[in-house]
Amino acid sequence: MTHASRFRPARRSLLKAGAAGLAAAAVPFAANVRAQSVPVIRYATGGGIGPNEIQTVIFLDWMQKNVLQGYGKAYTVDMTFTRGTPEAATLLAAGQADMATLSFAVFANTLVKDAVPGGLTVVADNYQDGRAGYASMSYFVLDSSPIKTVADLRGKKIAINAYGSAVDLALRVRLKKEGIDPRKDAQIVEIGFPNIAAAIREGRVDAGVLILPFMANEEAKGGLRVVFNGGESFGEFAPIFHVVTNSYLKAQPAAVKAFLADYVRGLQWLYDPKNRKQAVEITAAFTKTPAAALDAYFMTKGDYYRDPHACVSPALIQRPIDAMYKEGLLPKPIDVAANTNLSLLPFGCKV
Amino acid sequence: MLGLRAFVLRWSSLALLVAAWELAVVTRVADPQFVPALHDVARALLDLAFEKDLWEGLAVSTMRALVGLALGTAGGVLIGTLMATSARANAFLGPLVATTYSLPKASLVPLFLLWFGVGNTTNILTVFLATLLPVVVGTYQGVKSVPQVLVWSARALGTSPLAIVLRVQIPGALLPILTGVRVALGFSWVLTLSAEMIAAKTGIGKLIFVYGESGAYAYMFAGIGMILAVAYAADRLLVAITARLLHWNDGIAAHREGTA
Repeated sequence: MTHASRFRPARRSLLKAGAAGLAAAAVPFAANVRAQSVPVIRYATGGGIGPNEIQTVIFLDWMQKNVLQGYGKAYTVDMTFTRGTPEAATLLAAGQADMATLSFAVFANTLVKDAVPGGLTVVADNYQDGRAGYASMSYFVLDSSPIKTVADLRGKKIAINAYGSAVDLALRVRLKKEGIDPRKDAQIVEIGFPNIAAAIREGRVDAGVLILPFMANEEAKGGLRVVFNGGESFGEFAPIFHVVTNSYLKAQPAAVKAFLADYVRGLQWLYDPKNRKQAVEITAAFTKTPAAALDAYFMTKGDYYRDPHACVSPALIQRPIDAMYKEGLLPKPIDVAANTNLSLLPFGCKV
Repeated sequence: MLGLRAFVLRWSSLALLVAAWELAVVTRVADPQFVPALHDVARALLDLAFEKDLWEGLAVSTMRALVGLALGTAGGVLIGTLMATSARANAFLGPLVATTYSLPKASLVPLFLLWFGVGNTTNILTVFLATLLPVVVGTYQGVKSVPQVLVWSARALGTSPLAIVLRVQIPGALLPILTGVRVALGFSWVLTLSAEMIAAKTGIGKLIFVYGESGAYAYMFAGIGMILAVAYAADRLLVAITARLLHWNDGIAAHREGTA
């Protein structure tokens, strides 16, 4: 065997292997090209997980495969988990996200500053607070506290999660109703949501706000009592909701429509009593929360209210934004209805 | 016997911390709702070990940390050497290094998100900036501390200026450079996780954030434990590589024994 012939089979094998490699490489490429023909919605969450932002459950892999109908055909979702709604708004402003969950406060500031080129539109509900018979963010004190009414909060130290947040605003509005100036007559301090109950129990603050799931856990433990809730400040209101950039809505209206159709489909599947066990298990597995703890409030009257058709009245967003303006937290008023489009939702809305 | 005593001494602080943590939770001194018992963290870790999210997240975060560190090291050695060998470069870059050294690099993440979006570029750039300066400082000090007589000797033998840098000054400065890299390695994990916890699609920082937000603290600590284990392993690997590369260096014993 010559030197050349010894290497010939090896070269042939190499060519074969190369061709096979190229073919193998082309398969995912072809799949990728196909996937790219389906519009991608870059979605930024607002810092909540699981029950606090139900879309993080609705668009889980299992739901995509077993419940959603338009996913992978009319649209796909590229979800970014952000620390909070201000970061989600940053991504929208930077053109790094097409849709997001925003709070009313961040939504209002984003519109006033004209931070998102082309503007934003509210397209669906996430959850609502202050709805009679459902959970509402609440200000708690120790059972043994002398604070019985809002008037007793004068001169007291009160914990919120962040200045300018929805719960902060609810506190300021409620204190004002009682003739208490939140800037002078009370000490408002920032503590992370997970630590507020401990701060109340240890006497580091006189009162503090709790939201779900911390509220459900602490109520189960006992020893705390509600002084007032968000409903008393604003009535019913929408703390967070889904928005889309106007530029994306103009470019991909069908994708947004299909996304919202699946959102409502997923919501209804989760709320269907015959799916409850599975819905709780899926959510528990995602959030790593004990299923029993989740089962105690998730999608019951102990949870926030979610509209089954994902409809949200602009008035529910307008109310707290008007309160922001009155409080000097917003330089000019905004018209929420002018920036809302609920016609993309599958069942229409009567608001 | 002496080896066993040293081993026990070396690990006793960690063992004490673990025991104090478990005791505080079991005796309810710490609220188990916020500080999970270590056996719960271990259980969570076992649970996560069977999920691809953990391993994918760990792989992505490790890639970001190490690529950022590699770029930071390359840039740091270049800038540090320039500053140490050129008075002009030192005068030009010195104030920039001194003023930006204490800048918390995590504060730049929201700005990088605006410019580069969510993902690898933002993360790697943040790590690059955080790891660059310790390596610059280590390289500068290392090159400056190379005995001048070695440089003169090389020059006398006709070695070119570039070869003096590459064959005399940088090899002579390897210990301070690698000490700088070791400091930078710690920063690389901190910054990777910090960036991922602000906005991310993937990564162990995202998982830690998600579990923290849903109050699943055992899982959150399991994620932190995993990154600690990887970071510790990377540190020990770097120390071992340093010891092998510099076995001839008198200062290597102190470097190796610095921390366990």
